[in-house]
Amino acid sequence: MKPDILGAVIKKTAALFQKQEIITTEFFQYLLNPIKENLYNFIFKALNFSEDADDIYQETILRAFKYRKSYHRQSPFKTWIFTIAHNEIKRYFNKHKNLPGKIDLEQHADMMDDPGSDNQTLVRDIYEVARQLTPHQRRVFFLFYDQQFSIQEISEITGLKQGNIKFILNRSREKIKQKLGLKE
Amino acid sequence: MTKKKIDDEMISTLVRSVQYKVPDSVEEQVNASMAETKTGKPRLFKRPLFWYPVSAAAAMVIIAVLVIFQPFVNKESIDTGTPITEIKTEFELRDKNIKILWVQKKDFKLRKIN
Repeated sequence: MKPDILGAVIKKTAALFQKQEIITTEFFQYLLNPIKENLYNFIFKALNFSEDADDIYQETILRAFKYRKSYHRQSPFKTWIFTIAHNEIKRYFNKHKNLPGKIDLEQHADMMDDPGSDNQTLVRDIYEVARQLTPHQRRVFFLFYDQQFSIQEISEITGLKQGNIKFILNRSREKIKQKLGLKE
Repeated sequence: MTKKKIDDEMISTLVRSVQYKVPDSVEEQVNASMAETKTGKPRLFKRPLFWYPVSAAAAMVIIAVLVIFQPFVNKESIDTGTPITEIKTEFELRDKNIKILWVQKKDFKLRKIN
């Protein structure tokens, strides 16, 4: 499909969406494409790099696609789909009480933007702290530090009170400082 | 150990330095599943309204069976009692030493009241 035709299709579906509040498959993919890697990273990290993340990612997208009519434009699409992902991860941890596999950043070292040994140690320590958090604390941690959602948005996604989220983030920060030996 | 100040921005930078791409196999599976969802499975009946008269007729048949056979009605609760076959009435005139016994035999239907 030529770019101008694609543009016209997107414009038309956007117009339909504006007018009738419907999301076509093409428009759903148009909304999903810029954030799908963020979504995958959040699920993968929240599941402690478990291979089950692939299934949860797939389940999240299919559920979002199935219920796309229930998406209203009051909140951003990213917040809406992350809420679905959050609920899928929550359901996963309700089924699997034991935490999935231990983190091994050596295996994923090539994914790091800056593989300098100093930063690698810091990154490893931070992810080790994240691994030790409870599943719901870890979801909040990655929503804030990895996906850079605001506390209000995290509250919308997780259903937690803002004070609770601040408490979790503060505890995580303290643990990181402790791990890095920055706290006496 | 690096002794530099660590704040939210730095934690965020370090956390975000590890990023993954969606595996191609997963991407393909998602697209295939979405296409499958889009086309949808063939429906058993094109008109779901077909079921409404069928279910209404089935309900009526069940009600008719219940009314005719009354399987759940406790028959003991409508006990008509033992039929009375005779009535005996005694009259005694002691001063005249007379005792009259009047027996009414069954020639018409009587039912126990109590």
